[in-house]
Amino acid sequence: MNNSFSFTKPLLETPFHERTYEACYNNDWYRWAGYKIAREYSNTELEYTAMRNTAGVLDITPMHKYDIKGADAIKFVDKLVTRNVTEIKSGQVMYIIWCNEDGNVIDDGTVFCFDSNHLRIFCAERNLNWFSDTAIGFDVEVEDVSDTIAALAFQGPLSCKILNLLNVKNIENLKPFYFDDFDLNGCKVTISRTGFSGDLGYEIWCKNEDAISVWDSLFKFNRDYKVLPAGMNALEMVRVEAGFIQPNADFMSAEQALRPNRMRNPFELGMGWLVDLNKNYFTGKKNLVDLKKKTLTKKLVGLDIQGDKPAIGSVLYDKNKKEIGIVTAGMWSPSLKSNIAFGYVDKDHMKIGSKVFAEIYHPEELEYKKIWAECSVVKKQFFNPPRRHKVPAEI
Amino acid sequence: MRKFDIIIIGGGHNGLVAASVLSKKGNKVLVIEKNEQLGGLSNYVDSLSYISEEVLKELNIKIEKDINENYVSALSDDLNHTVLKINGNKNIEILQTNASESDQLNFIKLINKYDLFARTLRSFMFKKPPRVKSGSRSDIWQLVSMGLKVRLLGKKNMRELLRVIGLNIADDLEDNITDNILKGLLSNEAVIGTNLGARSPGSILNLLYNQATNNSIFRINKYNTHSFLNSIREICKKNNVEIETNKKVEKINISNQNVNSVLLDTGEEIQTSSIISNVDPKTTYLKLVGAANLDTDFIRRTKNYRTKGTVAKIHIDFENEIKINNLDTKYLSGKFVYAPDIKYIEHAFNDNKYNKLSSNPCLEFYINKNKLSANIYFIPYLINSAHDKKKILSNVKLILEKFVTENQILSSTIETPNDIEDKYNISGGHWSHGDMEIDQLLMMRPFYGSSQYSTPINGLYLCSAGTHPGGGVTGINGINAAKQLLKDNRNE
Amino acid sequence: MPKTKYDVAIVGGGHNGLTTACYLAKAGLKVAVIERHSYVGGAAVSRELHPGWTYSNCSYVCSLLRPEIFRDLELSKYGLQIIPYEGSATMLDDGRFYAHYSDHDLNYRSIAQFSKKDAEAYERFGKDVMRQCKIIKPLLKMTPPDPTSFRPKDIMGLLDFAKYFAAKDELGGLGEKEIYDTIRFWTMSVRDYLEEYFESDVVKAHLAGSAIIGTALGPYSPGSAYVLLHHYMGEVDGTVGAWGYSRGGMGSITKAMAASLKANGGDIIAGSPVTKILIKNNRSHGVVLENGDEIFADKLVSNLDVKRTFLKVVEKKELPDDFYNAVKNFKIRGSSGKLNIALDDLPIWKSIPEGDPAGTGDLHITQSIEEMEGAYDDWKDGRWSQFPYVDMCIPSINDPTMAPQGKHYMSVFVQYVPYNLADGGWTEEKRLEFGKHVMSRIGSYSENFNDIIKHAEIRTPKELEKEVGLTEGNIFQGELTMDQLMFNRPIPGYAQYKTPIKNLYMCGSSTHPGGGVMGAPGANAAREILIDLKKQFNSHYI
Repeated sequence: MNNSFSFTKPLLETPFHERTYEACYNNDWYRWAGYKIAREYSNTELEYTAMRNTAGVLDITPMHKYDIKGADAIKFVDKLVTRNVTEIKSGQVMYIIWCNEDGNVIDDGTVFCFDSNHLRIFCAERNLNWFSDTAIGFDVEVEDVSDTIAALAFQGPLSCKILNLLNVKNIENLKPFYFDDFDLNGCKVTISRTGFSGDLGYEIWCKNEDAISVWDSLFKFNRDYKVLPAGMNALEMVRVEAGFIQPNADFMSAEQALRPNRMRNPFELGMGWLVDLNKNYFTGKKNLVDLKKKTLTKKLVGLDIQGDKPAIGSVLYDKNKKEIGIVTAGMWSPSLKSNIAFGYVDKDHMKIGSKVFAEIYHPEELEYKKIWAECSVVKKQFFNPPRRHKVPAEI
Repeated sequence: MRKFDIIIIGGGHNGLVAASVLSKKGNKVLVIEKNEQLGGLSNYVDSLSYISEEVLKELNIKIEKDINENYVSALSDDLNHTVLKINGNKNIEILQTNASESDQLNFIKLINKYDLFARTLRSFMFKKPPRVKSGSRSDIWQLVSMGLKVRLLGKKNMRELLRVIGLNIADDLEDNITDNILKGLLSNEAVIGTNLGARSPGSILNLLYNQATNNSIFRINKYNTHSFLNSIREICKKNNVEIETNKKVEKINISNQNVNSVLLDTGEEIQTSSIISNVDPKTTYLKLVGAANLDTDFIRRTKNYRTKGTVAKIHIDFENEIKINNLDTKYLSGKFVYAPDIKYIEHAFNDNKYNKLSSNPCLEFYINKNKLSANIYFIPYLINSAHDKKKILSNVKLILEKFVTENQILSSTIETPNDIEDKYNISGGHWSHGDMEIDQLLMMRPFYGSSQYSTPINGLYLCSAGTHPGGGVTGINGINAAKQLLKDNRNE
Repeated sequence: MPKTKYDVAIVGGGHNGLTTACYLAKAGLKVAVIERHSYVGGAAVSRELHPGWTYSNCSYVCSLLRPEIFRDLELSKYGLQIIPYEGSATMLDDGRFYAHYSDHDLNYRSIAQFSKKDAEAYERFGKDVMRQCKIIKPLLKMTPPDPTSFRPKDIMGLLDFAKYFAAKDELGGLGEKEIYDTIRFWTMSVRDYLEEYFESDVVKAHLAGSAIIGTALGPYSPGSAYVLLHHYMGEVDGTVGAWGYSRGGMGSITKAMAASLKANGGDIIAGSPVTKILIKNNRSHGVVLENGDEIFADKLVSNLDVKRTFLKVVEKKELPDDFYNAVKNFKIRGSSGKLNIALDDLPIWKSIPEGDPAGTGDLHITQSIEEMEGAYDDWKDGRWSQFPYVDMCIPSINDPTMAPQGKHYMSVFVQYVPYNLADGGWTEEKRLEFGKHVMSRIGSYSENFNDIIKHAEIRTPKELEKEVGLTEGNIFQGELTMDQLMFNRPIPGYAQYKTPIKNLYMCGSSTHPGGGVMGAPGANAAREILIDLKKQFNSHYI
């Protein structure tokens, strides 16, 4: 890993780069927050299957990590986010979203509570300015610690079993949305039972210098249980199946949208359950109270689409061929054997079971075929196996 | 716990005006003032003030007009001073000057031009500023009527107004007159109390704004500030407004975005459902309301609101009655300006830009027998250092020695913008509670989300100079804020 | 000279005059461009002032040229090629430098070396500026409506303008907040504007440079943020805000325009200074040249700045007093100098390593906005800046046609330099002294600069006025301040390319939307003329 500034190296390398570079036969790199992350190591289908069948290892070091330290740490986060976090306990993780004053979503992430004076927020976009400006008037320090912590997502039905084989004590009793410190092959790591895959899985946080050792540990039992490194393409598949939306893919972050009407509020994203209007004041509350009373004009829903051609980018119509929205993410789901997607629909088609139509342009040997596919509106969470929530986890 | 219908934080003139309007309607009102003396910064306005007649009418106050004729003397280093006589708002006469005939003519023409434009703007000053795209019919109507008002000026004047509104004062002066003293005199009115130099675009707009709110280009009128303040106090007394001085509000308690109570430095908590804050917007939001109750975007705007003061005040006691060399004593009752030319002002302004003390500041002062009180500018508001007051005094002395001889200074006190900040709790010690530049005027004053005297907190209103139409002892802010509160209460 | 009569004659062969001429010729009119020099181009010229070297000796980089004009006039066919360049940098006294790269991630890291917060804020800044560019873009092509007029055309224009802001979708639904942001951007000082985003001096200074180039405002002056926008609203192939070199120097633009004009049947009458516009009964009908020849045309268009047009070539008696006085008071101030330097080798910078793409774009010398404001203070007092804002570039790195192999051409733009010096005016010695001052500034940032200078052309506003004819040497043909923008430009009531004289039009940068090698004033003027002639204006330009 050589991350000193040079114009010849626009991208940073994660502490796992030595290994990911070796594993990435395709040499196909994706830019994530200025880091080189493998898009596809060798074969996306196999990487995806590993996450659903054994376990996949994802380098998620580029996640932004902000330490919130000080007497008002909890109060600060409570002012920042739409959920009530005042009851958060040490060792607990919460999924959070935060909005701007108009009630439009800026980003989502997770908050880890070390103790009442120390929390850490993980998120996909850069938020240092937003957090710092939110911190005005609170007794907290916001520090960007992104570069000091290496992270891997270890996701899949065998993830607990393998960690157990690696002598990570009591890992099976770690509840979903909790974390703790563990010893992994002599390295002190923090493990949380969280992840993007919608399946049993963990995220492992370690010091940069322990990164290679942690990586190697996870592949130690590869002879018996085939663990694969998974790239961003595979991640995209599992996150859509799990029903997780992503800023600047499914909606524009309110801090980054050029056109005001590209911003979305939590209700439009189907995240109303994360908005607690009875808690203390938080940014956007005033407008969210008003928005809650209004009928939604558009909403992001799950779509079950006829046929097997991915509908990403398609325009959605009603039965009278009137445009009602667009598809933001779509794929053929190998687990469900369904053609699934996220899409925006208008107020007449938000109900589960509504029928809409997607106009799909599918390339077939240099020619695009136009497919008119009927779609059913369904819940966004397509995949949610019981093993994901089971405590103790399957060993 | 004591309980009031309405609490007014800060007993400046706008706070008192708001109190008298509200108490008239039968509300139980409490005014809390941090200092011993009421009136806030309006105490800074020397002897004569520029209270608008509309406000007097609204409050039904009758105060004696000051019978003295008003003079403005622009002092010149060569002792050939220029003296203007101001009769009423429009009638300005040049009594003595070194300027040429054509300069005098053009000077009066310029003043009349500004007067015409100021009168057009004046009609916007008394109303709450319309928001754009708010969807409210009254806002749209008001925007349209503003447009019509400007159109009524006629083609030629409207074009000129739309041109000079973005222009700087130096250019317009240099296009029309050559006399340095006259140019300095008018520039003084355009830049005093601002972060603008004579060459900064927007200085004419500031001049027009001053003129529109004060109804006088030289910011002098016929009324006495103290009798104005006394009259309002009497209304308050008559309507049983309780006024408590020497008490400071530490915090506004808010529950569920509604005003709940105020907490005093004495530890007392007083309950209320409505508060009008006469404290500047920055202090109100960041200190009294607290960031926890406000959106982050709103905090950003509050932080970006520009409130750096640029004027210091000096009071000097001389040994003998003050006379100005080579100036008739009958003009001593008037206002004096020392801003001898545009370059001089610009240099004083340059130092301010870099937070430096100008060794050649501009002065605007009044004389009362052996007392002299002056506004000195540009004196920057300093963030990390203290002012060298000795240096300020010696700079002022150097100037005064040119005009006041054979007289000794016995004592003096100086209040810098930092002192004003401390004493009156005004962020940056800014005269107008925030720069009067286009981006901080009208519906953008103080900033988006806080215009029209309302705030994001239900029951909290602003009436300070940080609201439309800005600074000056006009009382308009107080009246408009009170009206907005009454209207909202009626609608509930 | 044969006595031909033209439909339209354009006085002045700058890029706007040529643009107007091309559009008119394309519409089938008989058009002539009358140019004082033996070459056309005005301030967009390439000149060999030192054997073997081509200098873009006035304007030096290109971004604002509207792509629709490029396309309409088929400039590619006539040899024009724009080369985008990578990066820019600001060199600091302490040996560090701030580099700006087109690569998004590299740029983030570059700013983060000074401030992580600023690196992040840059994206928000970029987004907000981009939104302003989107708002202003259609306004550039608009003939400004007269707000005082009750003519249907003007009322519709104003309504269009209002509708544009009220429009739900075109700009992604601008709300109240965004409209105020626009007003703020148009009126604030660039310092205040940048301080709302950034904390580090060098980042602010690097960005503020665009706000003072060519203007008699300092970065602390309200209205300077607009000038920043004026320099950002250009594009190279859809990349808004990007700048490029014109292959062969800026003269290639006007050369291509001239070729396009000739191909469409237009005439260029070069080497013919116009001394007077002939006016009879308040109608112009021709011009008199310096040699006494007369050229007649039904309509005349002046590409000269408004002051030169109405104070020099139109007689005072032909003009209404108010108009004459307004022209006299038009603000057109020289504030910039230019050095064109032939170099024996590539300069080696103390800070920027060889090969760094940041070194191939604009290089600035400035420490902070405060230093830039100080430079402006000097100008206000009639001195050239002691610590000027210097914007250098070496086009020959990207453009092989500018200098012999292994040698280089450097363009140095200097802000601020007054038109009149307070201590007795410009002399030859002072001009050289000014040049020396700037070169020693640059020299202190380079290992070898002082030793590789072969030839230097030193231009003060005086030279610019003398050579190009821009009054006081103002590069925008008039200050870009609120009192001289939109319906105020150049003179309130005369912002629609027309003048008090019938059949006399204006097409220079004195008119809306103002300076820069943009072509929009020229195209707008052509449109107005064609409307008056009831002819079709065929353009990709709406």
